[in-house]
Amino acid sequence: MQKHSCDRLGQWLDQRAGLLLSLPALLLLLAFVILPFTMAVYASFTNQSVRTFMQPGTLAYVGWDNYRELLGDGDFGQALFNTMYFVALVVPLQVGLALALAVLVNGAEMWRRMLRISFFMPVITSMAVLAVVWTLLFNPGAGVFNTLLRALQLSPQPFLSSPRQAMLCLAAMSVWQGVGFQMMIFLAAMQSIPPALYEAARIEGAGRWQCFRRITLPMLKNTTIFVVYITTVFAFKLFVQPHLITQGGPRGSTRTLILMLYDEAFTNMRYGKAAAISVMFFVLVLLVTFVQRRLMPREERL
Amino acid sequence: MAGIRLQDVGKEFGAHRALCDVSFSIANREFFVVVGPSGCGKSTLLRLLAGLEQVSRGRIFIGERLVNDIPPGRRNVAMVFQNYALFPPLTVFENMAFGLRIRRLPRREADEMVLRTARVLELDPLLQKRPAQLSGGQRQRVALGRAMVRQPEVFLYDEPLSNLDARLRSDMRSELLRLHKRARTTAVYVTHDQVEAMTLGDRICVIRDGVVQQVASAMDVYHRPVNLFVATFLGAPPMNVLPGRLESAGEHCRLLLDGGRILPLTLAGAAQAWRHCLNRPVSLGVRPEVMQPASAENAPLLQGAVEVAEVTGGECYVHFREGDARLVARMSVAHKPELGEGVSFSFPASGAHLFDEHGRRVEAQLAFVK
Amino acid sequence: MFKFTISMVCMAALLAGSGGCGQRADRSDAGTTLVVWAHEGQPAEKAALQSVIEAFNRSQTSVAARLEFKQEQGYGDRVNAAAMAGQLPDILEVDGPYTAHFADLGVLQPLNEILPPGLTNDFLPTILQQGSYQDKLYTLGAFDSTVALFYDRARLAACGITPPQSVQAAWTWDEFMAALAKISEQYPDLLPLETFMTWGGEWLTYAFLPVVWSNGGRVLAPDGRQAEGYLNGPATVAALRAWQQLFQRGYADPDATPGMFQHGQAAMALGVFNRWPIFRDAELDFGMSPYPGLQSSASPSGSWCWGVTARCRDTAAAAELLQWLLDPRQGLEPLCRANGGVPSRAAALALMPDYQETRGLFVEQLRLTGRARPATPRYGTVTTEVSRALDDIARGADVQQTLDGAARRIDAVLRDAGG
Ligand SMILES: Nc1ncnc2c1ncn2[C@@H]1O[C@H](COP(=O)(O)OP(=O)(O)OP(=O)(O)O)[C@@H](O)[C@H]1O
Ligand SMILES: [Mg+2]
Repeated sequence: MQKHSCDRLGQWLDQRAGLLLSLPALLLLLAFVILPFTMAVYASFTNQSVRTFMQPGTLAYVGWDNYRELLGDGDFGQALFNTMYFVALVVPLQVGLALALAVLVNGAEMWRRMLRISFFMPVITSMAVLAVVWTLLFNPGAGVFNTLLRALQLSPQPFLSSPRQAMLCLAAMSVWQGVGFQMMIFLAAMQSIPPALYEAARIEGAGRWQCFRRITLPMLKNTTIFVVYITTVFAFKLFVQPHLITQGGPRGSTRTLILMLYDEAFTNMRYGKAAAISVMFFVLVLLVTFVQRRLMPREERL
Repeated sequence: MAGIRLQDVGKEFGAHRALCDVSFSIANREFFVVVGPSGCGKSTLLRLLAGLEQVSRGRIFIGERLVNDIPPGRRNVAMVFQNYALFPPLTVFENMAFGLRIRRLPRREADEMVLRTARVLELDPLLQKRPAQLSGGQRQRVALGRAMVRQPEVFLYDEPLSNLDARLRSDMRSELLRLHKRARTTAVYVTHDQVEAMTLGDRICVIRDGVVQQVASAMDVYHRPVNLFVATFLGAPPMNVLPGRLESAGEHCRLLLDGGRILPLTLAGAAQAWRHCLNRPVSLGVRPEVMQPASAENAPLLQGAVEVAEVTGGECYVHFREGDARLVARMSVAHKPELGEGVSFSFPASGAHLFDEHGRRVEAQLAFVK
Repeated sequence: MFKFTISMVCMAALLAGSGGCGQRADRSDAGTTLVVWAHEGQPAEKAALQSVIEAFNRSQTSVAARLEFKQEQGYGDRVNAAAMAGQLPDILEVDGPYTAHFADLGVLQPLNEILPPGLTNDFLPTILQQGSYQDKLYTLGAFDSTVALFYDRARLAACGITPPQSVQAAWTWDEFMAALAKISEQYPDLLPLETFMTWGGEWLTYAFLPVVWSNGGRVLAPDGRQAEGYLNGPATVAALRAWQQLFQRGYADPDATPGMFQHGQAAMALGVFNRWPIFRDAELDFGMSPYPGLQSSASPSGSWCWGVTARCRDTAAAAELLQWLLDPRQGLEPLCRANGGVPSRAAALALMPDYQETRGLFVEQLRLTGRARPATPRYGTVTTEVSRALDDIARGADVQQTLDGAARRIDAVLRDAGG
């Protein structure tokens, strides 16, 4: 009898093992993603602000007002454009460069350790420190880049003080800062490709480039898809760099959605409107991810 | 079509000497098998031929061409790897077409060649699958196909059958032989499986610790091994080795086995070949299959108690101990002895091999003195 | 992306658990304990405040002050969170221009009834202006700040320029520009004016709004409810166009690394009061001239100041502590000596003749032309927008267009904040 019920319990556990094992993760997801997001959706239809917290009577349902306000003024559009521009710059650049660096590091047997560390350094360095350093590098007057340009008899650039170049500068800096991370992912994937594949290819007559194009690239397909996804999401979340380096300027050219959200929540203390931005942001990322899924080749089991 | 010639080839990995003074020629269209224990340098030899490694010294010719500095892709060789090394992202078809695509053959011509090869190997139904969707045997055939499509001058095989189960292995072995007879190209085949070596090879090369021991036909290697190593390496169970001492005894000689038994012998043949062994330690080699149960006409030469009796279908191998030597004899299952039972065997002197104190073969015809 | 919502959840949690945390004043038999929050300033400043509070605790037995320092970075956010969670201290240090914000939220209670009448008589007008919101006084500071025009005596003399020494004689904008023109002609490799633009943020609002005020311009309407027509009104636009010329003509550089005047690479500097000891220690031969103006004169002011929170029950005890902190001898003198701030009371200045002698200009300027930044419940928004606009203008953006955008954004927030 005892044994029988034990078996039953075991059976029950077996059948539900998947669910049980993912329960902690699901609970965390619920507590830290789904619940707050639901609250954000709710808040986005109210005038919630620092004031409604202090004087609860003033909290009111405002319908689509927050969304209407967002879509009505040009700021949201500009932030949206800036964000998309950054994503469009950074994703191909960072993924491409990460791949190139991974190939370089993988090939340089002697220097592999050193190169790997030096490319990974910026990833683990505090962004606050990097922001200061890059602000100095980009300084139009005494900055290293312009000193270099002048030495090469080229005309100095305004960099961060030009609405046209500021986002490019942030993109360059972000790529430099983050590329080591993606490089490590590529490197790990590359090192798991059996060397025999390259030997087989060489015997079949493939040169270095052919090996890369016909072996390395296809073997890295799944990794690349993954890297594109995470890079896209990282890029969408751009905040710290413009917050620390340009404060969204000049002329709003580096104001991103998250920076706008931050301003709305912590400077203007309009939580309702900030929530509306976060909802729009969520929908946007969802949309882009969806489009990406359609455009990109599917992941495959190899 | 091309033969292969190696001249004093040596290869070192740092301080480790993987191959040393390797010189031999492989004839055009020959099926040449390289055997040796693990780590002896077989794969290294093959990789030198393929161009995947550079020789440390010496020269390699394929056909009449010195290939030392020619990259793998232009040596016109194909290689089949132990793990097949198929390209996972590509279909079977594209795997086979790989070399042709690299060489930018016109697509129609290339497709035609792939299809033809696929037909020969009966791969037609698999062409659109990927390596991950194939069984081990199927992958093996695809790897073969990829090598064959280009019709290279030389095939290099590195233990291509070692990942297959026994049944499949023997099937593939005969398939390989069939294909090779058909394609009539030079093949260098590395294995540590002696059955493969014996059945496939026109000639066999035995390597030990990077040094070539013997290059000869399968028959020669088996029946006239140049030394104890070759003698014991080939054949399963291995040749019995009876250490002893050769002494001259007037007209003839006698062999004092370490166990105390004395075998009176005559040695014929060029005297200088064996005379230096007189009054020195030697070894007598006797293969299990030449041993016969002692009888009236065959006086017992070796005796002992049965330790193990392995039955392998129609016959059985009897392990016994004569003095300090552990010996094996083959006999019919009908006469299978009990464990611990006393057995006695004889063997014809013509079936025994004599090795000198350095393990080298002594060329002489043996006969027992009655 | 959920950072913000998460913080709201945390706030909610704080609200839920805010029951009976012993943060506030409790009057027991032993007397009242007052919790005091202050921003964590420079080590010297921090130590000075510490010892002022300790002296207060030793001076009597009925009230005990417990000082808690909070990081300057994010100090305002921390107070907001504490306010929403009901975990405020009794005495709160506030960054001057945020007085209106905290008063409007109900974080602070008016001091008018708490402090004895007449206490404020000898305070700097700027301190009173900064502390007032809707005709009530909410904060009082021990010290004030301002910006003066520092100049290199030798170099200006070489150009034949003698900057005015008294506030009444301050340069008009034209005189100022003429002097800059002369300097840049004489010293082409020298930066004529250091403006510390790269500090960004609050510094820009603080240091350069006087240009607007001196032209009769304003950021917000007098009732504080609207920026449209003021921040982008003709007086403000004209003033900032004039200001923009500093950069357009190359007299000042928005990207100059701070420290140029200190290292002899700039002829003049619009420097805040605490540059004075730095320049002195650099052994520069420098003088100080009042802040130049357009139609009239105006100059920056404002600093950290003290308020009593609405949660403080024992206002008598709070008054006692505040009077100690603001006492010329007990509070002001040690604090001002520690951070170089301008003493907010005439009585304290009398105790510091050396200050009057070396930096009398600061005091005179604050008395005559000093002006507090706009009092508005959404000062954070105002200063963010104004400083961004100033930064853009310095880099050549169209003044009208830039200010139009800033005004529109500020008004959207003010509308939302209005009762
Ligand atoms: N790239 C290399 N670097 C250093 N040593 C190597 C390298 N390749 C092979 N060796 C060494 O050379 C020797 C011969 O290796 P090889 O792979 O040729 O052996 P093998 O005969 O093919 O053995 P197996 O039957 O186990 O495949 C081994 O001792 C091996 O450790
Ligand atoms: Mg091998």
